[in-house]
Amino acid sequence: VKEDVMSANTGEISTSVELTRRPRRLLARTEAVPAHAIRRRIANVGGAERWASVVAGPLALRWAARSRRTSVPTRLALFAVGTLLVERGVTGVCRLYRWLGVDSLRGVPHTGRRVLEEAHSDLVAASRRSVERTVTIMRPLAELHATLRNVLRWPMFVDAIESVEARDAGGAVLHLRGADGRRLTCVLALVQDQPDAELVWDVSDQGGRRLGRLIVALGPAAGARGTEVRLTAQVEGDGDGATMTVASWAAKLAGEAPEQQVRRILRRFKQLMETGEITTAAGPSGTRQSDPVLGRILRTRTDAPPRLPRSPGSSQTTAREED
Amino acid sequence: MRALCWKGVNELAVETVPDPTILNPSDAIVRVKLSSVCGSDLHLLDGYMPSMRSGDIIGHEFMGEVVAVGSGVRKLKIGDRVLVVSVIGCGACWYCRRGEWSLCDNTNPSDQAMDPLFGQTTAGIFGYSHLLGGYAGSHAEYIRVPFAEQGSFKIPDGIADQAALFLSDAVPTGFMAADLCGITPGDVVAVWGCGAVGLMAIRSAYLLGAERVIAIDRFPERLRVAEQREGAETLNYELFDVTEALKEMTGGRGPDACIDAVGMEAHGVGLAYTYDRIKQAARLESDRPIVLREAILACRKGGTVSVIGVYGGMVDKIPFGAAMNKGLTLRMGQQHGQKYVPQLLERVERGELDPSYLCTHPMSLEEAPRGYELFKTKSDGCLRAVFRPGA
Repeated sequence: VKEDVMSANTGEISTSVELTRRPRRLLARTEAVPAHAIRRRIANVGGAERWASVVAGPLALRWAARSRRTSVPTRLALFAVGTLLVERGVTGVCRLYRWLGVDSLRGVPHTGRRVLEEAHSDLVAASRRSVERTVTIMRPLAELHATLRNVLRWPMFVDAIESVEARDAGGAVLHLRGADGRRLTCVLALVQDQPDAELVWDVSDQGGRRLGRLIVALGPAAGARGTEVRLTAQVEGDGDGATMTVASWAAKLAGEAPEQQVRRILRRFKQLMETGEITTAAGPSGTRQSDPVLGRILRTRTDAPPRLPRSPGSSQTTAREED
Repeated sequence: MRALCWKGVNELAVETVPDPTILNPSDAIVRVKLSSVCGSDLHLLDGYMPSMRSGDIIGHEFMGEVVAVGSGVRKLKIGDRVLVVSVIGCGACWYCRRGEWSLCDNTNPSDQAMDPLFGQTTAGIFGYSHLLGGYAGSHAEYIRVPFAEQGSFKIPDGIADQAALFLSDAVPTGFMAADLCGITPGDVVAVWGCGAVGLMAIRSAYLLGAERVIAIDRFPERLRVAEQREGAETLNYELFDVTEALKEMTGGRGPDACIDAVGMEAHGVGLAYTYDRIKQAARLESDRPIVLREAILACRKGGTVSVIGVYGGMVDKIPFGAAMNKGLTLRMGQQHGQKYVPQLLERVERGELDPSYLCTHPMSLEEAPRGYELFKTKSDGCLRAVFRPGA
């Protein structure tokens, strides 16, 4: 466990050392390794709970092995639960907690590792408030900057945007529609526009309540590979811990986690800028029927109808607005 | 239109499905004249490739006639006779520009499924599961071809449909297998698998300067083709211990380069093969790396192992210590067809290679399930069953 934390930390340090030598690199402006890239294999099970797992795990395994009257699926489930309990008891790392973002160890004063663990918890918490992903695009930086600064181009690669109205000074009003059908209108104000480097928008609702920030950082990629683009979506405030956990869990189940959305926006933006269109396998293909989990995730990706792009540089509004 | 649909493991049916349409400016619609089975389709049939959905049209090796083009297509005209490379490349990303078309950044919309499995997402492939893009396949009367200017090649008048067809997949795949070996004059190359790709790899190895090529398979009729058509020395692995035999055939050195043209569903003999079958059946490993193991052990010190047979997931008991200590070079990948097709068309025109003999079983699309059965069981000397949609 200790080693993992150390490697996360040394990763951070070595990155920043390298970056001071190359101030033009994209990562230099974001100071640290992205939070999502930090290892999560750190103890997250509290002391008493951990002992309880050590005791309960073998009991569950014994039950799975012995009980002839229990059905086979139940016994398999018991076997799985028992194994996980033993694992979390012995290692202090619970996979389920990690996935849910729960940490019953936090705040429990317990060993010399506490400082590291607290720092780690902060990073994990930060990653829940902020999502960032990076992509490399084989186009000149200035062209990407100009396209991103023009909010009217966004509906081409952000499929959650139903329509957009431009406001003064790079601001906009976005009408969004989530995968679950919920609608949201938000107001964007461009608060920072460094030519060829960074764009920052403050995001608020129509009543003026701050919702968060959108940050786009651009920098040249090493080896003439074009431009690195990092998109960061920050959510304002802490939120109620439990609500956040349940919400992110539900989002994961629905296949529309914020991380996936950010990644998807970047991929579509890359496709549009490099090829002039959004790749799709939509349209009729055989006599398809629905399929369980994997199919559902894939369907959201491949069956989305494409939005035909316009000629670059023109400043028209979206198709839906024209309708 | 009529199309061959995957309905489940080892279940195929010809059905009436909706016609494809132009969706993006770079698209073309091609009326399929010939569409071939491919060894890699067997992984779909056998259920070893995840993310197939009932009703998917399969098939990825095809040629035909352009019947519609998108607004962005300039180099293709309606009526052009074209072959289409099975791997889809955008032509604009960093990888395509380097000629590594099967690593294209932009043509596989299934990144959310592939990223966690492979770390990165590779190019889309026609009719080859939703992991590789979910594109409709070519065993149909019509097919939508995205990035048509990049993947479609006009067929010169002197080349027959049947020869051009295999430049879509089998020939460039075999050629790439030999190309990855970095063959220098005088080299001895061993090729595992005498299916269409293996046979084309044998021919390509000779074209690139190999002095001897040794072909390995278990079907006498396929070994005969390798010997008579492509001039290879042959080795039946059911009769010989391949590693020992190769060593003896090469003066104790081992082949300079070894090509795995078999992939994840390799057959073998002995205990190791039984072990792999059990593990694969229990889904404890996804692929049976029998050829890969043999190739690593047989290859001479400092030689090259070129893997062109398809692997899909996890393999087990790879003698990596041998690979490391012998200083082997391992090279592999799906074919970069767009890079190879122009020179292959020239070679076919010059008569250096003629893949048309691979088409052993031409038939109508309605007979496709029988074609796959013949191909899968390798009965009746079947190298490739080729369907003529609309015939």
